[in-house]
Amino acid sequence: MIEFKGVSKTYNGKVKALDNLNFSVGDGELVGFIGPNGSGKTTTIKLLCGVLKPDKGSVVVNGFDVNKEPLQAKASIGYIADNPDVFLRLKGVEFLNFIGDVYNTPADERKKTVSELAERFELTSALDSQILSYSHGMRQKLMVIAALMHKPKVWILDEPMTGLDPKSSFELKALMREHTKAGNSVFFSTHVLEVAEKLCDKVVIIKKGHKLYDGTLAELEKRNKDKNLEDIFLELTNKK
Amino acid sequence: MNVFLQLVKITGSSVEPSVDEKKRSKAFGVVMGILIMLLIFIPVAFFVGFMVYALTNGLVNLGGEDSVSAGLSLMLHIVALFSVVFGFSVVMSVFYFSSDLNYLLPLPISPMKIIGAKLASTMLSENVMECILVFSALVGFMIGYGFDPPAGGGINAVSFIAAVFGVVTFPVVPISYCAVICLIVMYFSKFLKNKDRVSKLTAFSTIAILIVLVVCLNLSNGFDTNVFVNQLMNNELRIVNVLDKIFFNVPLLSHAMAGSIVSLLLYIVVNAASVGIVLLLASKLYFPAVIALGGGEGAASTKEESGEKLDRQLKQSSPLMTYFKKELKILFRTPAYMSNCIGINLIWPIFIYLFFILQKQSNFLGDTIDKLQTADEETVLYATLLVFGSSVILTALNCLASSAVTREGRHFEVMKYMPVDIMTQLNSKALVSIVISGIGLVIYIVTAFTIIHIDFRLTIYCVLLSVLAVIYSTYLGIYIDTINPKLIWEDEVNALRGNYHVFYNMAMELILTAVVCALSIGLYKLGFLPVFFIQTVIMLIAAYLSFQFYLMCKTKGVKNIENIEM
Repeated sequence: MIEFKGVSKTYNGKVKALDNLNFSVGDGELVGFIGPNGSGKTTTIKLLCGVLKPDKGSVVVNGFDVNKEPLQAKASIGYIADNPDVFLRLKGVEFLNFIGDVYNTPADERKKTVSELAERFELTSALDSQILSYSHGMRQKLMVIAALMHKPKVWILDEPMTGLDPKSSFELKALMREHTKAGNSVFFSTHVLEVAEKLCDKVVIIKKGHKLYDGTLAELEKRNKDKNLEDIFLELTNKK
Repeated sequence: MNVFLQLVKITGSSVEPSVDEKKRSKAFGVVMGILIMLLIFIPVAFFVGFMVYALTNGLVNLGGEDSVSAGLSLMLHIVALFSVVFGFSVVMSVFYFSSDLNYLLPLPISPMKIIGAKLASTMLSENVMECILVFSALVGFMIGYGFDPPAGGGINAVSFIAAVFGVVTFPVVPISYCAVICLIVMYFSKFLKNKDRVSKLTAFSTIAILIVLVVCLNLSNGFDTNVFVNQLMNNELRIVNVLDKIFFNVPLLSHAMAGSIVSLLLYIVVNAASVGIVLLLASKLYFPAVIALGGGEGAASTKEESGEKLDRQLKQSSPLMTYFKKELKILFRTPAYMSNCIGINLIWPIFIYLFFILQKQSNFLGDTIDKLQTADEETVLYATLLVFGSSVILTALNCLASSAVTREGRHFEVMKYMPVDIMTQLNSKALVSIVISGIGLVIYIVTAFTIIHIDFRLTIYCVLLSVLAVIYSTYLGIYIDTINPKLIWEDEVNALRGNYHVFYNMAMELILTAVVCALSIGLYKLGFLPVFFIQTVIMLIAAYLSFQFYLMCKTKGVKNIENIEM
């Protein structure tokens, strides 16, 4: 589970990216994180993963404060960044080994996960090639496999659907569902409202670092009768 | 802004630090800039200026008015040669491998304009060190020649105008050579269709050119100053005669410096013509080669892999070892790192060979070896200091340590979100530098000491000292890179070339080496202490520095990394 309590973040002492943001993601919950460009989604995700430090507030992942017990917190996260262009000179299988070692995943467990997921994403034949030769979608699929190898309690994804073909996109959504069904938490940012609509138990909508909405989609639609999610989103984010 | 100027700005931007980096490093940059100036640029400039002054003065005293600028020509040829050798990889990288091409090629801009801008930005990036060298050579010549030499002539107003032109435009011809060769080679090597293969071929060709140059120096008779000046005066130095034909701008500039206005005008025409030829060739050859390289990364294999093979490949290692292996694989597989960080360790025997042929006449090396074999105290001390100094400097030169964090580039954040403490990650980077620099140095030391039959105990001592020196140089380099790593770069060549930490590291290493040398020689000469005792002190200093810089990385270095936000 994730607890994001009263977090503020300013860049260079000038640009306020987040202002007293609060939300939580419970065990078994799949939460979509929605907001316009520059609203603070990636900053929030980087704070969750320990890449950035908050100016104020606390970020707790799976019971560990990300800033006080960073290694334990990070070990319980599976993170997929918005850019999958990482260590391009490594072969796919070498990258998976690297991630497996870093997260201390036993060899048997990684073999099982890798062969199963590589099969699902049709990536097995490419694993022996350098990541440099992969398409964007293939790199993204490799990141998904890497993030799930250590069976993280919390899975965080930044714009995960970008560049995926329809089948892979379907598989990823199915995996996210399976992950939450097993009692884990999934938190992902997206611009694709349909994905959030079909997939999420809950959404958090932010704009300019402020939370606009945090709750279930059913509740949101109940409050805005006869409007689809797109209209609601535009109405919310266009308000001053 | 004019399209051409915009292009120069864009193509040159990747070697400039970003605004954030500038802010982070202001005070640090000023201090290190002054140190670099004092310890590297000024001594080099002084040496070059003095050499040209001494040669010119010798020629003036011998009364050779016609060949008075021969010393200047020789020095300028050396500068031009180095520009060509080191310019190749820069031109290749800027012209064919920079990521800005993805954005520039679809735009309606002619190849001539793109190459013109890239040529200008390459020359600007090459110009700093070259300006200093050419400037000091020209000043040395002016002082050596004087306004009113006994044999007549002397510098005049033309010399001053030529000096200004020379300092500003000297890289034009050498870089144009690189550009012309690259344009032709790349046009005819379209079939390679792979950027990595082309880069590796360039790196090997550069080393091959260097070897051929050293062998062609044909200095088998050794170096004798008097003979050398006489050969210069009588135009008998074959290498200079050959170079005069290759770098035809050099004799023109030299004669212009001696006051010839015709040479000055010809020098300007030659520079303009060089650029013209490059642009003309570019208009015909550039786009076909760039487009052929467009799909340079190849395609992922579609061959079905067996489950057993995958199982065999998925093995478990410790985080330190896995980071170490990852670093090694990236270094060996990235052409820019392979040539600048790994390959550079292989070129030192070429320079040792050059030194060997240069000292043949005086037999300095033979005498030194004799003294070492008889364990002459003073020679043993100097050999110890040479091992210490060269281990430190060669480790700094391969920039494995001083670019350790910079190489992470835009995926620096991976260092932060992995559940592995920062010091383990820095240690893995240190281990890479220690292993690569250390193995090379140990092989050189053991081979050299075995060939010349040096005492086994001295060999072991020097190996241990070298390893400690490598460790301290490595941790110092890494610490410096944690202060302000250059994380925004367009391609790997720029990660290394646009990274001033290599210079900062070198400046710090030079200070510490100078202190250790001064202390050791002082203890020996003034303290009358036995060499064994001084060797022990040097070893202890190396061990202390290794430990101190390790601690600095562990405390301040880790803090620096934690505080970096992208």
